[in-house]
Amino acid sequence: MSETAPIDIVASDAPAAASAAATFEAFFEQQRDDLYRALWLVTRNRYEAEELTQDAFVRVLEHWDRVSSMENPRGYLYRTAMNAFRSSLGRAVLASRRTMGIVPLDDAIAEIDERDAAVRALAALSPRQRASVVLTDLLGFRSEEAARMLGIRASTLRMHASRAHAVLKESMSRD
Amino acid sequence: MTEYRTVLERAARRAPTPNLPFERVLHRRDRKRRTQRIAAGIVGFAIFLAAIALVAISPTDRTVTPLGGGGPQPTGSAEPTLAPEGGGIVGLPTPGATPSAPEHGRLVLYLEGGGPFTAVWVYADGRLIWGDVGNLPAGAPTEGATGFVEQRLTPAGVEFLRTQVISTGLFEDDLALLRGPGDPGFLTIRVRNGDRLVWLTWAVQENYRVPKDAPPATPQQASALEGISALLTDPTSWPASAWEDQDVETFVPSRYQVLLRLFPDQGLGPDLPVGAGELALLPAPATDLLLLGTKVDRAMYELTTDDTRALAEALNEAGLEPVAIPGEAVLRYRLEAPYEPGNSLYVFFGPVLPHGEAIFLGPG
Repeated sequence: MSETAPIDIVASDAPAAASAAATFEAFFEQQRDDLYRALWLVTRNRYEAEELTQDAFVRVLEHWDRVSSMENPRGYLYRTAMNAFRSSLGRAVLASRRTMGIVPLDDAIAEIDERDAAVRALAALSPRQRASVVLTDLLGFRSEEAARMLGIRASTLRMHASRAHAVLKESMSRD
Repeated sequence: MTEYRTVLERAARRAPTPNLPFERVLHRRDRKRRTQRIAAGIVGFAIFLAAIALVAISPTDRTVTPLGGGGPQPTGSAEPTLAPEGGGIVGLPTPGATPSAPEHGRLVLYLEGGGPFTAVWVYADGRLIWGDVGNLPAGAPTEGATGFVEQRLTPAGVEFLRTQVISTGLFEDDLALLRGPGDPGFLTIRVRNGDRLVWLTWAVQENYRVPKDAPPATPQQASALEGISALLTDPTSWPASAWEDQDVETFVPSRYQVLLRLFPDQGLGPDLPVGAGELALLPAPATDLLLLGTKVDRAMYELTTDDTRALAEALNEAGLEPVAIPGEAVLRYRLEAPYEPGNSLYVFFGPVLPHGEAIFLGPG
């Protein structure tokens, strides 16, 4: 299971490919932790966050030639990740609608919830409210840009953020 | 704005360390490419197999195997309190029943699917909890049946099961594997390996837990997984030293989560948002009890077992009755949503297991 797959982008003799691989790796190292943390906050599940982070980077890598020349590759990365998040949310809802099955678990976050008021406060928000505040307040994306990532109107995003702020404020004041 | 950013930054710092080396992304990209190439080649063959499977598998084959035989032999013999004939629904623990102790436990091993039991959870403190869909174990204590039963393992027993799973070599890293076309079963296993729970899911691609680019299981992997499934679902094969207490007792949770869901009565439409309007549909005492609980997610509240019972009683007193769905073992009530014709509001009750997860048990 832990076999190392051939890294063909690096193994290529073409200097351009090697250079692309190096710049992608640098981009990955620079963005990985922030993206993972953002997705962890949004999904409240480390496994899902890891899955979505990997998925987003794989998609970026597939289009790296084009993405690397963009003015804002980070924006593309987050758009991709949020698209995947929206899809996974839809899949999970539909699947659980069909089966009432067992929700994937993450016992780590439950332990953290107990210890940390900030994490606990976020639990009171819906996934889209969490995504709205994470994208705008934490990551500093403009409302319009964050709304595009979530596939909603900017006004809807601002409404989600506003409600999230109210809940956060109340939760934090209680703690 | 800064105030919220500070809160979010603080929360983000609590994130667990991700297991995401760069090589894993490259590996995944390569796997995706290989899968795409293979998929292009086998699509015709898959359609052929699916056609055969449709002929070969009739709906009556999808019955749930009743518990018994090699499964735990529970004590007690009272009649079910809420379970109608043919199973399908379970209720809340008997008033005054002692909750399983301790309230919190560290999950060591979990298996869902693949055997006569729906799911099994093993905890570091020795607790072994079985969940079942629609079939109470033969002779199980049905008075106050919760759909979950509990046994106790020794520390050696817990380690025996964990090492048996780990020794397959499949749990170094999270893994999703595809089952072959026409094989509708699925298996999810989580096992503690060091500080983390490593998961493996083996299912058909339509299962939302399996990514699109998951590789098919090799014959060796499939064989190892069948072996784990057989071991974990046949406690008679475990050594006597694994058992602290083999008697089967009803698992009594300390807390429940109550989930409100609004969806169409017909078809497979997605959930609709649940808000204050839906809460207002509930009898007032029920709404009050819900709001006393902790809101853990959108339209999901956590209550003590006593408050959960009071909530169910409030629904009963309002003339509502639990809804039985054949093959499902989850306590639920249904309310019509008058302003949304064709939609119903459901109230589900899921016991919180020692690792903090609420389980809404149904056919997976």
